[in-house]
Amino acid sequence: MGTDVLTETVRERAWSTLWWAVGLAAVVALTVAFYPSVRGDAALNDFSKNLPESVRALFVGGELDITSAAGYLNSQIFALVAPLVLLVFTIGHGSGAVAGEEERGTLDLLLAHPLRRRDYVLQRFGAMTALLVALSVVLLLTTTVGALPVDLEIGFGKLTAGTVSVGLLALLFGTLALAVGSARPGRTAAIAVAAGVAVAAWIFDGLSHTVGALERWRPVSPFYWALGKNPLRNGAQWGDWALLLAVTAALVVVAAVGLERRDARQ
Amino acid sequence: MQTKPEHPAGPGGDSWLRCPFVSVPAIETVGLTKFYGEQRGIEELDLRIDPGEVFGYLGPNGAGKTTTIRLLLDLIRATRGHATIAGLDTRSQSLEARRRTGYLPGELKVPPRSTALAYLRFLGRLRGGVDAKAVSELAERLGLDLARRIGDLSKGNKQKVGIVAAFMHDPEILILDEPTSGLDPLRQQDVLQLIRERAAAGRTIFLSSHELDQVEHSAGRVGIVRDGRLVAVESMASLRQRAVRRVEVRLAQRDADVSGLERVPGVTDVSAEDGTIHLVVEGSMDALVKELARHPVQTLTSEAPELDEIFLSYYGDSHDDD
Repeated sequence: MGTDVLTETVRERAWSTLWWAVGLAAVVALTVAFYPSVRGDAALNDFSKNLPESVRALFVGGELDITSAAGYLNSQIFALVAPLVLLVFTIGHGSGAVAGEEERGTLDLLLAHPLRRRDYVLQRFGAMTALLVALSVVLLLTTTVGALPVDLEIGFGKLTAGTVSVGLLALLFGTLALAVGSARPGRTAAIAVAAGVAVAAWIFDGLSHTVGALERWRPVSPFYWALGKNPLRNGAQWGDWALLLAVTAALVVVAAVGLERRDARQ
Repeated sequence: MQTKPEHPAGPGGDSWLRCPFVSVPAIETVGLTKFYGEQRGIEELDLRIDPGEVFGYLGPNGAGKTTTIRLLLDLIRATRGHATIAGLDTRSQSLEARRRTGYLPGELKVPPRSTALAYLRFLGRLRGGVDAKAVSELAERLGLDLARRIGDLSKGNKQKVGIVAAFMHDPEILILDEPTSGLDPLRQQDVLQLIRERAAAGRTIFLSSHELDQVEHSAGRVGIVRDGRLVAVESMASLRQRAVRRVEVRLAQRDADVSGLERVPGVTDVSAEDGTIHLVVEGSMDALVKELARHPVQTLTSEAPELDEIFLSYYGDSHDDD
């Protein structure tokens, strides 16, 4: 298998990804810069504690103490903003890789070349992963560097764990979009399915904190795999990461087989 | 279908000639059928195109030309039947078949942000590398500025990017879907010349068009498709015999007696008014011109035969029916 599609995609997307990185870094830097004014604000902490548990689960990562370093970063970045940005990025890329190129009409010429369809899918997956890694590194570095002057002490290891969790979550949903777009034509459907499942899984994860009947089903949501055990506080979650990767790998197979089997639309 | 028991070995790759006496067809389809749901794309297509042939694939838009081509390139999958390129099954051996093929899509779309050169290099790498000189030579011949962003190119110039991509690796078999569409007449001639050169070098060329003009001077044989069916395969020479042209003649003398025209072989539908004559002629114009020579002719204009008019001659010999 060659790597020409991978490198071409990365080259083509390098500039736009750079802008994503700038945006992500700006949000992170701004958030971190506000930490000193939040630290020790008892009123804010009380506000957070008094939130209904499901709302707290959805919007502040279930943090009770959002004025502590880990609580602040988790609630303000890792539980909501970072997953949101990275998911939008990967779902955009995943849906564009096959279904988007197909709608633009650029897929035809590529597939008429001596290039296996499954190789095309794998290389586009590789390109998405590479660009996501770049964005994740930006997330990690800006939180690490930004934390220094404001005494946000979490430690590089736990920040890395949080970043890996969020990155793997985004990779899974980007690959879902890739799989849907490979199995059938239409970029809109690919985005809708991936974004729809992501939002449903996120809401489900929030509700399962309070709705007793849902509690035992909590582990079915990928959001739980990524964030449920709070990697920012508790460090690496190897089992959950393996699970995220396994589902992603299965989706890659679905994508490759799906595109191999169907007609390319003109 | 014609067979060539002793095909001349063209330069640069007659690897498909495994046996010296039987040539493997460059393109062959057997009962090739494609339905999109209920809608017919192409049905029961049997074609055999020999190495070194230039085959014109003619039909109105929507007749099934592009469906056929996309089946050959394994972009879509047949409902029934099968096809081979250079003896390679277009499904199970598609990768190798595509390696030997150059393809120009009918509606070419290229990513706007790349420069022409960067994109062509990328496509070249998908083929394991292509001679940079071949790319620059082709671009120069076609008048394509490789340094420009594809998004800034005109429709015709984008088409040229596709033509370079199809030709740059000098493939054994070229499959070109409406190659001259979007090009101005001068550039059309450049492309047709390029096709003739590759044909002279022994390459096989499958050339689709909805206009007879575009294949007339390069194709040796022509297949005509209509409503998803191959209705005829003929040599260009015999098609030309049957091609009908509309002719308008303006005579200097308004009241000339032109009744003799009706008796000229091949001429039909004669109408004369105020010294302007309209008629339809099938095949050679020789007899008509000789008959006209008896009158003082001011102007003589002839329209290229429309494909539909060629079809008419296939659906009964009357030119009156629709």
